[in-house]
Amino acid sequence: MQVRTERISGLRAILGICTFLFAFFPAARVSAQCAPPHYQEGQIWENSESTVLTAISIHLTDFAPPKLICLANALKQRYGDRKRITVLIFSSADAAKRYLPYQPDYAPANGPKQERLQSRQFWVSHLHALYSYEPDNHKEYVDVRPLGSDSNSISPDRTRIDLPTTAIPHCRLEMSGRCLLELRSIFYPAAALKQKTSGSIDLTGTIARSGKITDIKVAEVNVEPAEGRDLLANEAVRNLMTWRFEPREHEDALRIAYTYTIDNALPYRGQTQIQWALPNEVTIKGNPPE
Amino acid sequence: MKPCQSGFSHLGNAFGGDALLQYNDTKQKLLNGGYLTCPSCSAFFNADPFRASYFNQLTDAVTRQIPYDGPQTTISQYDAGMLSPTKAATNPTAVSIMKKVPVCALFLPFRGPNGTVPPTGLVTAASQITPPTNGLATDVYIHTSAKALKFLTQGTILHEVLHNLTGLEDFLDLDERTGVQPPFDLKTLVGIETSPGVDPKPGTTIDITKQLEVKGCAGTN
Repeated sequence: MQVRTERISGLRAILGICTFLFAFFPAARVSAQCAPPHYQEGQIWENSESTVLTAISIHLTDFAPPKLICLANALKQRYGDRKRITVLIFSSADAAKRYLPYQPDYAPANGPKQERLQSRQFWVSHLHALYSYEPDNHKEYVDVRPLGSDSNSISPDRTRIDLPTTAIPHCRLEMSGRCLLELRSIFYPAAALKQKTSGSIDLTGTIARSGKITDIKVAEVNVEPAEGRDLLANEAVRNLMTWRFEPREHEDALRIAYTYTIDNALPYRGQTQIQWALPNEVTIKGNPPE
Repeated sequence: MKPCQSGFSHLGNAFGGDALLQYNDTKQKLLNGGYLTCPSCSAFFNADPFRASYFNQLTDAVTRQIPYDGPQTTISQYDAGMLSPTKAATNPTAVSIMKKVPVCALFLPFRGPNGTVPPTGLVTAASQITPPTNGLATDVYIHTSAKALKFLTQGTILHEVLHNLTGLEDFLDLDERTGVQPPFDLKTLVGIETSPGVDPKPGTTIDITKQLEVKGCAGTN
C-alpha cells in the first residue's frame, strides 16, 4: 500500500513539473515532442560556410503552422551555423527541383502537360512557405503563403510566424480553427468586369476531415445585372473547390459569401483587389477596363 | 554538348555560323519588310496609350539588339539583366537565386550543387530586361540548336525586343503586381490578358509573338 502511495506521489510530482513547464514555458508546447515532417530536397542554389539557399518539398498537409515550426527547428539544427538560411518550401517535389524566378520564351509545348511544366506560375503556385533565418539581424520566421507565391509583397492571405514563438499561431486565413493551406487565385471574370456585373454569391459546403471542401452548394445569389449571375456563381464555386484546409478528426460546415464589387477608386483600369474577412466573406473589387 | 555550369565570364558568348546567319537574315526581313512602320502595326500600337509610347522606338530597338549564344553563356542570369528592376528591388530571394544560376541553365541541363536540373522545355530565347548602368538593354540569348532555331521568327525577335525596350516580363500574376505600374507585363501590353491577373495561356509566351504577327508588326516567313 505504501509503495502504491509513493508511486502515485511520484506521478503527481512529474505531472506537477509538466504542468509548471507548460504554464511558464509555453514555447515548450510548440517545440516539445516535435517531429518535423518528412521533406525532400530540391534545388540547392548555394551551400557555403555562410549561406544556405535551397528548395525543399513537403506534403500539403504539413504546411499547418505547428508542423512548419517543427520543420523550421529541424532546418535550423541542420544549417544553424550559417549566417543566412533561406529555404523555399514547396508542396510539389517537381516544383522544388525545377523552380526558377525567371521565365524565358519557349517553343510551342507538346501538349498540356509540357505546357504546365513550362509555366512559372505552375511552379510558383506550389510555393506555400518560406523559412528565413538571419541570426545577425535577429530575424527568424516562416512565411505561410496559401495562394502560392515567390514574391516578397505583403499580401493579406499570408501568415508570418516570427520565431521562436511562444504559442501556436493562428493563420490569417482560417475557418473553424483550421488553417487554409492552399487555394487558387481569386479573380474578377473579365466579362463580368467589362459589363460591370457585381453582387454576392453565398456558398455552403463541408470542410471534410481531409481538409477538402465537399457538398458545395449555391445558397443565395444577388447579382446585378441578373444575366451575370451564372458567370460569377460558377467562378465562385470553381474557386472554392480549390481550397484545402488542415485535416482534422471531424468535419466542419462552412458558409461563405464571394462578394464582387465594382470599385472605380482603384488606381488602375482593369485592376482587381482581394479583401479577406473569413470565415464569412471574401470581397473581390474590380475597376472596369475602359 | 557539355552540361551547363556557372562560369567566371562577365560577358555573354557571341556566336557565329548558321545560327548567326539565320538571326541576321530574320532580323533584316523584319527591318526591311516594312512591318514595324506599317499602318496596321501603327494602328495596333497607337490604340493603347502604353503601347503608343514604344511604337516609334521599334526600328531602332531591333537594329541595336545584340544576339548571344544562350547555351554557351555562363554569366549569371542576374548579371545578364534578366531580373526586372521591380523584382530586383523587392525580391531578395529571386536576386540571390539568379546570381547563382547561369544563363545556359535555361537552355541546357544545369549541373548545380544538388545534381543536374534539366531545362523545363525548349527555350527559344531569353532577354535582358534590366538595362546596365547608363545604357540600354540590348541583349538577347538565343538557343542555337537546329531544333530551336526552327522557332526563331521575326515575331520572336520583336517579342524579345519588347523585353529590351519595356523592361517588362512576359506575365505577372496579381500578387506580383503589388507596387507595379500598368501595363505590368508584355501579355497585358499587347492586349492578350483577359481577366486581370490571369494568364490567358500559362506555360506559353508564344501568344505574345503570335499577337505581334497577327497585328502585322512582324512577318511570318
